[in-house]
Formats: sequence, structure tokens, C-alpha cells
Amino acid sequence: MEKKDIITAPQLFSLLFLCNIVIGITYNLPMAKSSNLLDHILSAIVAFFINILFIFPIYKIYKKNPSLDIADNCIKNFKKIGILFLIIYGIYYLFVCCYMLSLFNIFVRDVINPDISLFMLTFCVILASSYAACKGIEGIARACSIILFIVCLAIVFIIFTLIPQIDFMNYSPLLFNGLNDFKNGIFYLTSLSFYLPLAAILMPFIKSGAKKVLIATNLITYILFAIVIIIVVGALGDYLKTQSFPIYEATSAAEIGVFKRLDAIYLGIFTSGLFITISIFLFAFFLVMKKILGQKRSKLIIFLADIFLLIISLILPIFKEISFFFYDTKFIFVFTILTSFVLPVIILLKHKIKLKWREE
Amino acid sequence: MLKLLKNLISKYTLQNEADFISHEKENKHSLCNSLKKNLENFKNSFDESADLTIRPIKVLNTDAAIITMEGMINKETFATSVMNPIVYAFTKEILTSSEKLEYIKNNILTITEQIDVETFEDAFKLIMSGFALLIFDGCKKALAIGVQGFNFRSISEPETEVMQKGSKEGFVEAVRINLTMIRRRVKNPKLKFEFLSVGKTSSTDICLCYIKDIVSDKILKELKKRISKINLQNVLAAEYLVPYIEKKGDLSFFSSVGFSERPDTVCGKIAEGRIAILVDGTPTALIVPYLFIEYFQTIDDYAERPYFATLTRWLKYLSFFIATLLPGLYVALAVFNPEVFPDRLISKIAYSIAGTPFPLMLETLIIHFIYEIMREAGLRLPRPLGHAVSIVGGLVIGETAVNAGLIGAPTLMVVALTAISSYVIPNLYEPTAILRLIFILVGGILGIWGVMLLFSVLIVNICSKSNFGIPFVAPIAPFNFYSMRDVIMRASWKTLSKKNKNIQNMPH
Repeated sequence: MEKKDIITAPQLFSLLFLCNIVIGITYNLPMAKSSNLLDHILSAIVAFFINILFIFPIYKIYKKNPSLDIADNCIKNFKKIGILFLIIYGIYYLFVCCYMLSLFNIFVRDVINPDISLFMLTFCVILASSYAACKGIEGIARACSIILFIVCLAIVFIIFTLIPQIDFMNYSPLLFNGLNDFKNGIFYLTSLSFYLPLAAILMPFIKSGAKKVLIATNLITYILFAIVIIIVVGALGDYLKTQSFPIYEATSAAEIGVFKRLDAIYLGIFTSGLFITISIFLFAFFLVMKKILGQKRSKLIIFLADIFLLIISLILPIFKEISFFFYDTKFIFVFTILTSFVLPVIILLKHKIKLKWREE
Repeated sequence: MLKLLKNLISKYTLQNEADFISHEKENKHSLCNSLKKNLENFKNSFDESADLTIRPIKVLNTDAAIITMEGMINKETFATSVMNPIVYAFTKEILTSSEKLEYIKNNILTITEQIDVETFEDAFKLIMSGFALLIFDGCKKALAIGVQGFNFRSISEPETEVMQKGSKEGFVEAVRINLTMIRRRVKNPKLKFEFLSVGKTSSTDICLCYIKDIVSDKILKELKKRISKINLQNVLAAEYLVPYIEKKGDLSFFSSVGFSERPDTVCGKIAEGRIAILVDGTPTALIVPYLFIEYFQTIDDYAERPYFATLTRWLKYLSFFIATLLPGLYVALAVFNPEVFPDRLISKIAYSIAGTPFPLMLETLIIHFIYEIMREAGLRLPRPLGHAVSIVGGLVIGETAVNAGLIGAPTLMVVALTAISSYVIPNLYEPTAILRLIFILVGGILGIWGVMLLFSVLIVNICSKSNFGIPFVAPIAPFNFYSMRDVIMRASWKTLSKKNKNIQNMPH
């Protein structure tokens, strides 16, 4: 893949932001091990600053040579050991795909329970995402900017329909139950910063403005997140505590004038957002695999990855043992920290040591 | 082996435009000195075709011949401006055959369009384009005299692009008449017409029209390269060229080559740096590069007040979504998510679904297929019969089927609304008709998820498309704020004329 400035900085922003929106709308209190969603506003503020810290090494590496992505830097600085790093990144991108798709399957199976084949639906999502990933970053990025526009309109509409339903009695004081929810919120939000390792591999596709993109994504994501929490808590109150997908429940309850039951909008946002998210993470996976195996062999791996994705995403909602491992915040947190902070820092250090050796 | 080598060499040379021209010259056969041999060659080449007319005459005491094609020349012009002056031509000087030809050309003939011909291939082409060919014995050159006068359809408003305001002229089948229609509207010396020939058997003339200073040289060069690679035997319609002009491997439902039968539309596009391709024998001009958003822009938009033009623009967008998505969404929501409909509406829909024997998806598909069959029949039948088919289809089949309980009234209404909406953007009818069917299938199998997923795939498909380096969905993605003046609204001419709108300036 030739890395030239084939996408614009706003398109990269829309890619990262849409991924965060999808993560945001699937925000899950049981998985966050919290009962008070309102405390997560404070968690979001802290998570924002933690992410700023994580951005630093990724951006520094990019700045050293804007034409190289994180995979190129791994190979350049560590030669054969770099392949091990690439495998970690490859697994991470595939893991995100599995995580998102299985979450979607859980949602469809447990919350909606429609009369359609879950296998067929999952298969179609994977097929469509693979098609988009094969079409390349240009197509995904342009489509993403259009889809993001539609999604933002839908979110604004949902927010406006929920505002009249806000009951101020639903708001409890912040940190009312102690610091536990706040801490778990930070943990959960930071672990879901999937966009940072993604940005590390996509940044060379833009000409300039990577720093602004990363900071803007981080800032706008958490602002939107805080707004959504305030509105959803105000509209649903204690009812939220028992819900796996609180934002879906909020849209189901939303109504304004003749518009009732806006859950269809939620389904639309979720499906199209999920499609873009899986497409872009699959694309990132393809990029890494190309570095490891070369152009020809990576095609086979892509096919195998699709099958793996299909199996895992269908198995996860059924087998609790595996799903616990997949949805364990600690595990996701470690994995995210490793790919978004630890490995970039190691690469950065190695680069500095190399420079010092040269100077000496 | 030799043939294979020749093919390889010819393939290689075709890649280079300059080489391509020299290659063409090499394969041409020169005229010879002997009139007899030349005439024999003409007769043999045309296999003594009935419309080839060879008239031996004596001009300035030298044996000569005039070759024409029956029906391709204006007989009156030919007689008065060519035959009469040639036959009665006289000179006191003693001239060679070549000099006599020059004398006739410079002193006798009054017709302005005269071309020196040295090869048989050029001669064939000109004769078949309505020229009269004058050949002298003892001369290796011939003179092609423009006396074209074949019958052609009179200029009328194109039926496929009817406009309320603006010109009522439409292209005709004769390419040269079409050129005059463009020239009359763009009185600019930089407007260039460039003739090329495509089709090994048909040798169809095609004409590239562009404005020299506005067009992108890169796009023009690429277009010529793609045209040089066309290996069709016959080119009987402009649409034959589309797959060759589009990007290689483009399997999208949407075409990135525009069509128009209106000279004013073509002139507008040329003025924005696009290239129009006129094909002899067809009234359709191809326009490249073409953007998705242009499907929604008509010449009427620019003749109306901006407010109303903006409203109609949005109606077109809405119609496109209705034509593509409505039946699929209807099936998906009615089958899987009926709760989203208002209570009274869902009771009507549920009542109608319960009263019909087929599942909703199948019912919608059946109605759609019946509609497509009737549309196709209506197009091919003579007009009086077409009306009868419409009445039979609309009233008899539709109403009877609803009354008999075979199909539901809401479904019929959805299909009817879809059908009408699809005619708001007639150029997009083909892709919307196919997509609509796919959306119904997906909506019936996977519900709202399937519809949204397919819609997202469709967006990726359109977004990843580009032609001549210009993204098909520009200026929406990549986004260009200033271009929105002619996308989300139709700004006034004062605003539109402020900034250059050339196609090569689109974000990419």
C-alpha cells in the first residue's frame, strides 16, 4: 500500500470519531462494573487527560517520519523483533473487530431478539466490512464522513427528543456512592480508547494536521459522552442500572410529536457505525499482515481472519468463559495500554538510543 | 509466431499516443499513379457495393473520375458547384496531372471544404462521410470535396431531457450538425473539436469537444489514451464507449460518464473543464469526468429563482432515496420492526398483510416485477398501444389484484410512489431499479440491519469510485464547503459566478 496523502485530516477525524461513537452508544454499565453512570462524567474528564498522555508517544513517532506508520517503525527499529510487535498490533486490531461484532451480536440476540438468523447477519456484516476494507482507506474514509454526518444528525435528533423527558430528580450528587464507580469508569473508558492504536497506523495517510485530529477526537468524544450521560441519566434515572445497553433503552423511550420509538434510528446508527468500525480495523489488520507476510500471503490471512471473526463473534455471546476473558476490562485495558502507549514508548526509546549511538 | 509478434508490437505501440499515430500511417496504402488501378482498388475494397458511384470524366483533357456514395451527398451542390465547373474547366497552360489537380482546387472549385488525400484509407473515410473524391490519372493525390448532404432528423427537443425553460434544441444523429449547435453557444476560439475514429468495422467518427484553456491536459491525455485502446468492431451508440472510458475494473452500479442530448447542458459542462464526446450516428453526448451530484442538476435549476431551484434540488435528493430505499425499508420495518409505525398506520398495514396470501417481501417483489414488465412493454410498444398497456396495468391489474386480495393496497402504494420518484432523476433509473430490488431482498431477509448495512456498502462503493483522478462523490467527500453553493442549495448566479468551478479544481 502506497502511503501518500490520500485522505484528509477531517476524514481521519471522522474515522476515529465514528469508532468512538459506536463504542459510546454500546456503553455498558455491567461491563463497566458501575451502578452510577453520572460519576462517569468525572471519569471522562480524567480519561481525556490520560488519552492526551497516550497521544504523545504515538504522535512523536509519527512526527519523526510522517510517511511511516507504527508497523513500519516497528520493523525499522527492531528488525525481526519488530515482527513480534506487529503480531501484537495485528491481534489487537482483530480483537477490536471481534469485540465490536460480538457486542453487536449480544445486542441483537439478547435485547432485540428478532426473527432473523444471527449467523446470516454476522456473515453479512463481515462480508460487507471485508469488501469495504478491500476497497481501501479512501473509500472507507469518504463513506465515513457521509455516515458520520447522518449519525450526528440522528444523535442530535435523539438528544432533542430526550431533553423534554429529563427529570431533575434522577440526578444524584456526584461520587454519592464513593470513588468506586468513578475509578471503574476511568478504567473502562481508557480501555476503550481503540482509536489510538488505529490512529498510529492511519496517520501517514494524511498530509498534515495529525495532532489536531488526535486532540479534537479525544476532546469531542468525551464532551459528547458527557452530554449523552447527562441526558440519558436525566431521562431514564434508576431504570438505567438494570440495562445492558442504556442508550438503546433511552432511544426506545424517546418521543417527540408524531415521532415515537426512535430505537430504529439507534439500530441504523449502530449498524452503519459498526460497519465502518470493523472495516477500518480490518483494513488496519490487512496493513499489518502485509508487512509480516507480504501482499500475496496476506490475502489468505484476510480470508482466515474473516472466518475467525465469524466464529469468535458467534461463540462469544454463548460461552461465558471466553466472553468473560474478552469483555474483561482489565484485559482490554492492558491490551490497549500495550498498543497505544507501551510499544510506542519502546519504539521511541529505541529510536533515541539509535540516534545517540550514531552521534557517538 | 510472426502474427503474435506483430500483435505484441502493435499492442506496445498503442500505449504511446505518438507511436500510435505513426503506427496508423504505416498501415495505410498510398494511391498510385494509374487511375485504372486506383478505381479497381476502390471497387474491390467496396466489393462493388451498390451505393458506390464512380463517374469517369475528362477534366482538362485528362482522364479522371469522381467517386461518391449514393445518398451521402447533396446532389444539387454536387452538380452546380463540382461537376459543372470541373467539366467546363479550361486552361491554356500545359500542366501535369498533379498541377491540374492543384489548378482545379485553387481556381475552379468554389467549395471551401477541400482535403488532399494520399491514401486509400483516408479516401474511404471521406467518401463514406459524404465527400466527393476527384482522382486524376497520373497523379498520386486525390481531392476530397465537401458536398455532404445526407438526410437527417430535424432538430427537436430531446424526449429524455424535457425542460420547462431554456433551449428546445436537442442533438441529432449527425455529429457535424451537433458541433454547430455547440459552436453557436460557445463563441470562443479556444473551443476545440477533435475528431477520432473508433470501431474496426464501423470506423465511427467521434468528436472530443473541449475548451483548450479550461480543460485539464492530464484528463484529456488520459481520455485519448483510453479511446485509443477501444477494440470494438462496431460503435453504433455512444454508450458502447462507456466501459472503455470508465476506470478499469469499475463494477459500480453508477456510471462516472455523463450523458446528455442537450447542447446547452453540454456547453455548460465544457465550460467547467469537462470533455464532451460526440459519436456520429447517435444524439447522445458523453461527458467526462462526471460527478454523482451532477445527476441531480438540470439546466432548469439554473433558469429558475434560487429558492425554487433549491427546493427542486432537495426534492430530487428525496426522490432518489425514496426510489432506492423506500420499498426495502417498508418491507424491513413492516416485517421486523412494526412498532416504529404510528398505531393507526400499523393496523392498516397489518390488516393488509394478513389479507394477502404472499409474504410481504415476495408481494413487493412481485409488484415490482410486474411494474418493470409493464414499463418495458410501454417503452417498446407503439404509443397508442402503450397507453392501453398503462390502463390495463394501472387500473385492471392493480385494482383487481387489490380487490381480489392478492396484493395489499399499502404495498401497491409504496411501489407506485417509488416508481414515480424514480422518474424524477431519469438518468439514475437503471441503478435505482436494480438497487431497489436488492434492498427489498435484503430488507425482507435481514430487516433494518440489512438495509442499513447495504446502504453503508453502497456509500463505500460510490465513495471509492473515481474517474480521471476526480472522486465521484466530490465535493461531498472529500468535502468542499464552497462547492456546497451548488449542492445543498442552488445559489444565485451572482454567487455561482464568483469562483472558478472547473472540474479539475474539485477536491481530490
